[in-house]
Amino acid sequence: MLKWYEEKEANNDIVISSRIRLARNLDKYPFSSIMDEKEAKELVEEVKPLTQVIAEKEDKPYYSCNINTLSDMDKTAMLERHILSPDLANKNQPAGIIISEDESVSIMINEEDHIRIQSIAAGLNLTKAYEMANRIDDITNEELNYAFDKKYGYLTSCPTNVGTGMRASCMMYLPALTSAKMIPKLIEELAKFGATIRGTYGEGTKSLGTIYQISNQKTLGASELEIIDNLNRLVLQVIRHEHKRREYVLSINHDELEEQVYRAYGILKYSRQISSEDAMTLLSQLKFGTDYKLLYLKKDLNIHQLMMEIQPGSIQWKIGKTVGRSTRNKMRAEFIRKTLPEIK
Amino acid sequence: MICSKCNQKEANVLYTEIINGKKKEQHLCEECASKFTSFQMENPDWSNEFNLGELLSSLLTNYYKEDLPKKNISSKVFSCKKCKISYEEVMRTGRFGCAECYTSFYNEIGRMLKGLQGSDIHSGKRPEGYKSIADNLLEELSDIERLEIKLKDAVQDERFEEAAGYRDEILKLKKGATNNNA
Ligand SMILES: [Zn+2]
Ligand SMILES: [Zn+2]
Repeated sequence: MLKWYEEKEANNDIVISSRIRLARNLDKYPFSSIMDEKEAKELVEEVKPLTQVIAEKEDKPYYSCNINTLSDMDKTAMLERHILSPDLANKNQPAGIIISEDESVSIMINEEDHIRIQSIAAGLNLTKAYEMANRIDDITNEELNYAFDKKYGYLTSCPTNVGTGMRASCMMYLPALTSAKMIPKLIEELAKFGATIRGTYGEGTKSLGTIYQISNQKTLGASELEIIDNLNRLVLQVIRHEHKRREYVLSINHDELEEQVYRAYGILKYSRQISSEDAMTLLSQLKFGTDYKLLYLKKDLNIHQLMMEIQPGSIQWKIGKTVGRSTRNKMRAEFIRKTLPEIK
Repeated sequence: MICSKCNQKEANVLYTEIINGKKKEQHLCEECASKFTSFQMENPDWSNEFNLGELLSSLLTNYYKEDLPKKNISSKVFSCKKCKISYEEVMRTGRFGCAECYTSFYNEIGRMLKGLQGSDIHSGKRPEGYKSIADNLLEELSDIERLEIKLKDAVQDERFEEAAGYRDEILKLKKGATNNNA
């Protein structure tokens, strides 16, 4: 079965993926922040049987596991693929995860909220992601009683999630806006319309590989479809701005950019050791080059998938054991050399 | 100097960009500079659109404004009936202790949520069998309350003739209620 990121989708030269997260709590337990060990264990045991119910109704394989049974290596690799959240990976209480085989749907148990349903679709497709999450939510609600208030909606541990409990987000590749130092302005502009932007890899608004996550800020008042519609319109505007910038940079700096793209390819194709930071920057430049036809590869390459696969945890996972930084850098360089197609 | 983009107009903007570690300067005319380097999100049409949650929120606040002080009696009880967490702790940690907290701190969180979320009424999905706040709101209103809202509206819009009509109707209903109770 293809993982979600292996699927081909139109319009993903800028929007890599669309994601929906629904926060839900069960009415019988206190919220996760004050739950004791025993209640946490009961919660995980009560939710886990959902796995079979969902698998049957959705007619595709789902798996579940307890977080404490995962090795650190597994956890890091799952973090890098955005299946786990840092909160859940570091939880020192019983916690669990249910996940579809293609990794497009996951349900975190005992994260900040009792249940967090996550779904992801390739490209700009928030509606598809929402439909998946919404179906899983209906199935879950048939089995378990949610904490719901007619005035405040789905009740959550943190007041910033109450109401719909929904966070919709798009992962966007913005090299031109980044190099023009327009991200701070973008943060400001998006805030005016109730959306936030932060770096996907790396910390805060600093981003590795010029990849960012744009999401809705408010969860109460507007309906799920209104929220999605709003975010969609904002994302389309950001796409337009990124395209406009690229066109501009290309029109005045074509030769320099071409040089940059070929250099990036050269280093990636021939280096013997490379850090994930350097690799991310060069891959981002290479992606720009292939998207804008400055350079042609003999075979199609999913650069975002490659970006996920060269993160430290995923590299170790491929080796099968925990290794030091310099070994990882060598393995990463080798993996990239093998994966990169020749130039046409 | 002539604009390096359009090669026509006088360049009066110096624009710098770093590519390949090298600084590159461009001389542009004002028009080209703003066309390619300006950055402003357009106001999406939806921001003026009808938002049920916000609308109900303000409607409720207006309607219940006079009743608020009376409801504040419970504000001395500053911990959740069920999980015992204090309101002070909720504010400090930003986390509620349990679902019941939303009821225990009912008077406090309405304002907090409006500040945080711009609304204090959910208008999205609900579990099967649940009625929305809008349904309930309309159902819960008595005929008199409905007329009172119309009356206030009419007065506000200076439709005094209409307002007088509502007033008479309200008086008639109130009189009827007293008679029935007697
Ligand atoms: Zn010009
Ligand atoms: Zn409580």
